[in-house]
Amino acid sequence: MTKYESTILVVEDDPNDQTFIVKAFRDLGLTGAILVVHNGLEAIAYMMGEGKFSDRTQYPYPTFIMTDLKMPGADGFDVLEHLKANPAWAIIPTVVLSSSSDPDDIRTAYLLGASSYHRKPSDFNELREQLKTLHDYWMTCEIPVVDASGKQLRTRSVGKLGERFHQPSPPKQTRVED
Amino acid sequence: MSSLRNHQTKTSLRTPARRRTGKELEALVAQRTAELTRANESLRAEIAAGRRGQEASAMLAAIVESSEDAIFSKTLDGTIRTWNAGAQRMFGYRPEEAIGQPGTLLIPPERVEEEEQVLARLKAREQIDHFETVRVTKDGQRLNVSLTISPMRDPEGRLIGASRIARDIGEMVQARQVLAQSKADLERLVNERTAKLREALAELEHMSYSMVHDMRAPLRAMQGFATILQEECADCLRPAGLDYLQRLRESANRLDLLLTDALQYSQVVRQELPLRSVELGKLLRGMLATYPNLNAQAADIRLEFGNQVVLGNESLLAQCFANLLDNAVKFVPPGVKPHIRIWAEPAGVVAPQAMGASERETFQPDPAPPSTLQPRTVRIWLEDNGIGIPQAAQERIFRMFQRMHGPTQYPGTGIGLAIVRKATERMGGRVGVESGPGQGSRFWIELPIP
Repeated sequence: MTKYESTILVVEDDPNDQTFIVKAFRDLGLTGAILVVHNGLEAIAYMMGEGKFSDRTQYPYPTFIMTDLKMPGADGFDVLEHLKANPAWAIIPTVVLSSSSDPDDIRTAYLLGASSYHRKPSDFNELREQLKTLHDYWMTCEIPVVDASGKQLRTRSVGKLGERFHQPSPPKQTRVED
Repeated sequence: MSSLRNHQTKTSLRTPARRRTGKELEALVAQRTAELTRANESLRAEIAAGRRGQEASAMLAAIVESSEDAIFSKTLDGTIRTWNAGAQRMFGYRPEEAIGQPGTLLIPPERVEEEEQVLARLKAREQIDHFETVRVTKDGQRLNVSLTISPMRDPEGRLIGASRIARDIGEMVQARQVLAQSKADLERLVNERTAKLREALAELEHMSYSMVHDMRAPLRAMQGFATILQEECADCLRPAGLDYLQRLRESANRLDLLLTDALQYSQVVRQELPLRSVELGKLLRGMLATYPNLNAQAADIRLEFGNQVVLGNESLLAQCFANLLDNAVKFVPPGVKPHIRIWAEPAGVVAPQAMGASERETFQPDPAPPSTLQPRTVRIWLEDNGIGIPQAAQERIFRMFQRMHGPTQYPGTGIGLAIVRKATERMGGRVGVESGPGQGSRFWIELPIP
């Protein structure tokens, strides 16, 4: 079913959860890059290609982002806010995987443009099942054209149905203040 | 007197005969004497009346003089005309010091315009009752007084001045101030306490919120690594080691359940819940169709009502019935298939099944007085064929963390029924149980209907 080699960006501050998520994806047979950053600030720096993240062969643009909510510095909401403010990043499927099942957290995440919201299961087997379902679903989804680094290629939609929605150039990157 | 003279003149003109004249004179004298007597009596009466009038005036004057209130009068230009003893006591001026003085004598400088307003109202023929203001005594002390000012008129009805009755209301004003102060103190105290409570609540909320985020994380780690260890290191562990790992997982799992349930309980306590009409049959049928432990293979559950509608919150109701059904399915003797019957009846009617079973003990936690319930309520019964509940336990099972069985026999957190009770109460209803050991249980939920 896989239409492309997925590049997954995991935003997670808990080292145990990092291990579980990466292991679960590997157990499912994923061979693509799985990149782990430790908090929202790092995630934003990653997307903006700041510092070491400017090396796009080592840190390619993700095709899929999975973020925790509660993290030091910038949290998952900051990540969502930042991604959705940038047209090139807004279309990357971004799911929330959090311990919280608080109704307000869920509502806020969707308001900020989360593709889906999942509560971290306590059982590792359940986590694996959950990530499989998620991955399989997103792998069947069509995605826009990307270049070698995984960056979305901006095409002109002249003469096409979506022409009237043609997005202006992305705004100058704005940092999320903590 | 003039009438007597006329009479005399007439008589002298009319009677020439002597004998007759003598007799007539006598009669005349008698008549005059009688008339004089009458005149004298009427004079006496007049004098007496005058004296009574004087007495009345004197009495009125004495009343005015002895009054505790200051009573004085002013002319239209404001000059003080009369001054009673009360006025002297209150303001310190002797009558000869006050009378003839301008009325502003008693008025503090900042209130001088008041007098003009009073005069204007008097000219408009208004009476001024219990006008609370401040006046100054001879030694410069301020007094809180209540003034009653009435216009005075001459016999022709012309306004000539005003009488004033001033009452010292210092104590009253002071009492009022004390009252206002203590009211303000009380309000401040209430506000402070409310703020503190709000703060405490917010802290609790934050704590339970963080509990999910932070306490579950290490728990998941324990569980996760135990699972991975079981899977990947099965070869290098002896059976006992694998068993320990399994127990580790189960304990972590149990703690996670406890945390989740406790959080659910606190959400039931806190969350805002709009009450709407809920069709119970639809809700329950939906639950039976989706909950794996409630399907037809697992349990025989009969819904014996069609369109029962209650006033409640759908998610709370679902939690209530999920917990009750969960228990009904769980607490059966080993090997027995759960049979559950659910029916509805108007509240207050004894269930026909309960009538022949008076030996069963019934417990109803904290029965709410009927007046706090909606006037129209319905009681939903859930009858099971489970192990039953002895009376001693019936009063405990609706409390937090109360369990009757060890985790190996019947697993659980002891929070389910506490959630049922809290949720029912928050919807304005009640919950209770009828049961005995080995007799199955009949739980009921009483809910308002729209």
